[in-house]
Amino acid sequence: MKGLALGVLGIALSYGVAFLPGRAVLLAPWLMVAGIVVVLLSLIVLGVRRPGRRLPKAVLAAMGLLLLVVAGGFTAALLLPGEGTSSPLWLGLPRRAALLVYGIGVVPALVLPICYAWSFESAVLNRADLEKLRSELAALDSRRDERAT
Amino acid sequence: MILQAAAIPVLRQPAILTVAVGYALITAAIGAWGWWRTRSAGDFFVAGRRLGPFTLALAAMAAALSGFTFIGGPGLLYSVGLGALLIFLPASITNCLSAWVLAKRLRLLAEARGVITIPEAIGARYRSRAAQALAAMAILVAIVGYLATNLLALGLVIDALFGTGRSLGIWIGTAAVLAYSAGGGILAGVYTDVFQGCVMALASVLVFLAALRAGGGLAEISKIILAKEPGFLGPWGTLTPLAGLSFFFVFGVGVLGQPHVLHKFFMVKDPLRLRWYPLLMTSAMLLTLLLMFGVGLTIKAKVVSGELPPLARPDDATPVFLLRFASPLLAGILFAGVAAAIMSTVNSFLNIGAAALVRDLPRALSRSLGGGAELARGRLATLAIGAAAALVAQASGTLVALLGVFGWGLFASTLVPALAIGFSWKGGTRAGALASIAVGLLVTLGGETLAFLGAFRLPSGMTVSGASLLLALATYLIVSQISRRSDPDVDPDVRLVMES
Repeated sequence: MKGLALGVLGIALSYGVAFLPGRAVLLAPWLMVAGIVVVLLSLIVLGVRRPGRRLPKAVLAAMGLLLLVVAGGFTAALLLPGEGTSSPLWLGLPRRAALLVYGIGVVPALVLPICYAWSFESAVLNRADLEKLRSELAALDSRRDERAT
Repeated sequence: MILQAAAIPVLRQPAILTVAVGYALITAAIGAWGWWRTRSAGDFFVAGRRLGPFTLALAAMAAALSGFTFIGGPGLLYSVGLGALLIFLPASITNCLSAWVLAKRLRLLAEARGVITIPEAIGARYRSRAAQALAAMAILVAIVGYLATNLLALGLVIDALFGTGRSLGIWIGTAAVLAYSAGGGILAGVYTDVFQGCVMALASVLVFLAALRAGGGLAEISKIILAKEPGFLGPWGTLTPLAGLSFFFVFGVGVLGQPHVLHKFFMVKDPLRLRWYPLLMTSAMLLTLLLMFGVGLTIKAKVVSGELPPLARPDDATPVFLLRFASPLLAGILFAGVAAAIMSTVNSFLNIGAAALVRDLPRALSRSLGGGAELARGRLATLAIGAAAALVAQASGTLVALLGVFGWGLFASTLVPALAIGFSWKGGTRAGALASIAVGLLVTLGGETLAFLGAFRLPSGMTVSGASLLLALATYLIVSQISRRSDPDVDPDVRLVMES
């Protein structure tokens, strides 16, 4: 939760700094990029984390990839020089656009769903956990029924 | 998100009309089958909880992507450059994100509690009828705008195909969607969505390939544009970096609050089959998004090279491409895809709107209806919402445009904190949920209206919906911390679902 709060704070600061005059506004995109990355990673941790269990390696790998492509792609877009009339093309697009389109738009689409499916039983749900949950829910139901009668 | 609001160039050619009629007949047949199979409120609102991963993914994709993907999207790319992609790039991440954060928990909550709507899930999480009612009201406000813009776009497509005029086109389109939405509810909806999703993906891939061929390949298209307008192919296009990033934030995180997509998780037959949902959904989405990229860039290259005159309106990009560079058969498939995208989204909104009216609001007021009454009233509510939205769609373009602005941002700001964070964090409280939904509702409605009227503008083109999502998130976190007690607002069965 601290990560999520920190990410939200980063994006909020970005919105705030954008109102400032002068060169301070140059900070705003960096705060926004940092905030977005931290919010996305925190949401994954919140979603996957379960009491008494570590995050599976496939999920950690997915988070590492996400950090690399989102932070790296936006950093490249912000830092690299702009396009000219004779800019070299990477896979048919100028360099910065290619990093963004293929890096953020395609690479995670190819890798994250595989990581999700790969780690499904350890990170999301397996048959044993499902049956345990169903029996615990049934026990709760019967206790509730006993109290009602 | 504003859809097509101005007339589409006339498309009355035999091949186009044949494909359009064929599409309508198949949709009608599937809808009639769904109607015949619908026997209970459970069938009507959650398709009897029978969906497999393939059906889930295609239905969710068809509901998530409206006609904007095929008409407004290429137009936006044509007008602001590659920065427009920042709305769609999060799709590579968001399906996994929603699966990790919400899919399993919503499906298991449906099993534990018989929950069938998103507001009901929020009510169960916080033991709060007020939170359920507030979430239902936020959904109703958002869908009126979404539905009106989609029905207007559908009316314009029908007018372009059959020359009905805009007004009659809206009524014909509304009647067509209502025919299966009111009869078969979401059961008819998801199976028509599967067909419609296939048509959308097929149309997108074929048009993308045709666009690349017409432009001489992606590298050639880029060289032509770079020679005249290099900034267009920059990562932000003509947007500022902050504007582009705020789009990425709203569409990346806001996906966790889109009820017409999340609602589908309640319908899965076996929660263990959710394993393949992100793979199938992401693949289907990426294929369907290819069109906007290909058509937007190709038309821009044709215009800067002088082969085409500048477009009168950016939204003409797809129709102009089809009329100039595609065969009539391909144009027919694409317009079937546009109609499919609109109708599948409309059906989903009608269904969640009807559920809010006949299930969430009465239950929040302690007036639960029986299963039979819920089904009958669900059908009536679907008709009423559809008719109301069609009436709004007939109104002035300004009103429809204003309502269309709300949709995504309103869902995001009102539902992401209470739902996505709330189901992952036991520290979230009832007060936090109520405050965040109220703040999201007020800030989005007020802020977007003022911005639309030109009363204020955020610096560097940053989005109001991003600011409202941010404020709602901050409100949820802060109010939950302040109101946190030793005994959190979570029932034991809901806690088990959250910890599973």
